[in-house]
Amino acid sequence: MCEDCGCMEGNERAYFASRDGHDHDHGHTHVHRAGEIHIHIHIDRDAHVHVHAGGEAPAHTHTHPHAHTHSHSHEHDEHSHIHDHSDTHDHGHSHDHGHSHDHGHSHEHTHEHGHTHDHVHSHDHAHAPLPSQARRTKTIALETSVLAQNDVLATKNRQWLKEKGVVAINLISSPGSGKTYLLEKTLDALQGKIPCAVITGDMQTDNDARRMMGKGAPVVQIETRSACHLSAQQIEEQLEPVVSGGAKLLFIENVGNLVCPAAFDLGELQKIALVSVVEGEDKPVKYPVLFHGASATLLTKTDLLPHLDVDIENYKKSVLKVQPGAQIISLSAKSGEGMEEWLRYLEKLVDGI
Amino acid sequence: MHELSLAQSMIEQLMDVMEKEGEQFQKIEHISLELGSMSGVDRDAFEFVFPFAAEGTPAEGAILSFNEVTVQVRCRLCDKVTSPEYPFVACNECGATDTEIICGKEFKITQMEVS
Repeated sequence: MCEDCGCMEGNERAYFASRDGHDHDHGHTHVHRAGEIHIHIHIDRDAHVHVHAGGEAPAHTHTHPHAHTHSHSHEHDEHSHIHDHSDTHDHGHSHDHGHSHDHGHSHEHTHEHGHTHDHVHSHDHAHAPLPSQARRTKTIALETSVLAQNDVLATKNRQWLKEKGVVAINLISSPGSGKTYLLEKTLDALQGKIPCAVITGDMQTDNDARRMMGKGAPVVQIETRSACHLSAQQIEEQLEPVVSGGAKLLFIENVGNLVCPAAFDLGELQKIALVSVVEGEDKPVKYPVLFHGASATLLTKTDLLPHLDVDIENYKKSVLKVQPGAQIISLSAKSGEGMEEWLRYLEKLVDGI
Repeated sequence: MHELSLAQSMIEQLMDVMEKEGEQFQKIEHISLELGSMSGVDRDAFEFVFPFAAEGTPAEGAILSFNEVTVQVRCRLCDKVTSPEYPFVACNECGATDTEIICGKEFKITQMEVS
C-alpha cells in the first residue's frame, strides 16, 4: 500500500482527501503492477479509476476524462494537482459558502505495465471534508439592529431625561442652515422663562459653544474630530453635567450633515430638521430619511426670500411628500418672523411632560 | 460616511455573540443583513468600509450578504399595504398620504456563520 495516499493493491480506494485535517500537501510515489486496479477518490463523492490491465501488453496511452461535481460548505483558496505522467493541472478557485460548482477535467497518461509511476499531489486547499473531519461551523440566527449598541444607550438617555423631566431635541441640518444663530436667538427669548442647556457638536472648534455662552444656559461643545454625527454615547457622557443646573429644555445641535445624524438616535424626544430657503426646494426629497424622521421641519432664513427665485410653498410640498402631515414652521431668526410660532412649539413640548 | 461606525458597531456585537458560543469558534465566515431602503445606510459604502473595520478581527474576510427591503406602507384610509416609489410614502392604491411605514427603515443582522 502506498504510504502516502493509502491506495492499496487490487480494487481498493485511495482517498486523496485529507486524512488528518482540512489541508494537506504531500507528494508520494507508488507502484502498480499489471492487472491492478485502483480508484482515486478526489473528494468524498467522486472518483476516477485507474485500471492497469493485466498481461504483457505493451506500453499504451489511455485517456480518461472525468468530471466531478461537488458542493462545499467552506471556502477554498486554491489547489493544484501535478501528475508526472504528462499532465499537470492547476486550478485555483475561490467561492462562497453553500453553493455548488462543477468542474470537469480530463487528463491522459501513458504507462507501461509493470512500471513505476509517480504521483505528486499538491493540495493547498481543502477538499470537501469527510464527515468526521468537518471543521465545525455554526449558523447563529440573530435579529439585532446593527445600531443596537447606540440604541441601547439612546434608550438609557431617553429614560434618564424623562426621569429628570428634561425635554431634549436633536437639531439636524446641513452646515450653514442657521442652527447656531437660531439657538442664539432662542436662548435669548427663553432666558428667564424656560431653563435651557445646549450640547453642540462640530468636527472641530468650540466656536459655536462660545457664540451661545452668556445666555443663561450651560453649553457644552463636543468636537467629534472625524465623525460626521453625534452618537448616544457622546451625549450620555455630557448629559449629567450639562443639565445638572436644572435645565428643562436641552438643545442638541448635531454636526451639520443631512445624512449621518439621521441614523443615530441620541435619546432625544424629537428630531427637528432645518432647511434654509437657499438650499433648494427639493432638498427634503433628496434626503428623505431625515425629513421623514423629523417631528417638525423648520424652513429658515425666510428673510432672504425676496432675493431668491424660490417658492416657499414648494419647500413645504417637498417636506410633505416624504412626511405627510409634517409640522412645518417658516422662520427667520434674523428678522424674528415666525419665531413666535417656534417658541410656542418649544413651550408646548416642555409643558407636555 | 457613518457606515464605518455602523460596521464597527456590528463587528463588536457579533464578537460578543461569538464569545458566548465558546472558544471553538474563532472566525466569522458569513454575515447576513437586512437593509431597508429608508434605513439611511448605503450598501456600497458599507461594503467599502467593512474590510477596514474587520481587519484584525474575527470578521476579517467574512462574506456579507444583503437582503434589501423596499419601503412598504399601510394606508390608514384603505388599509392596503403597498410599496410606493422611493422616497415617497403615499398609498399606491388610493393616493392617501396618511400612511404608516411597516418596513424599509431597518438595518438588521439576521444571521451569522462562525467556524
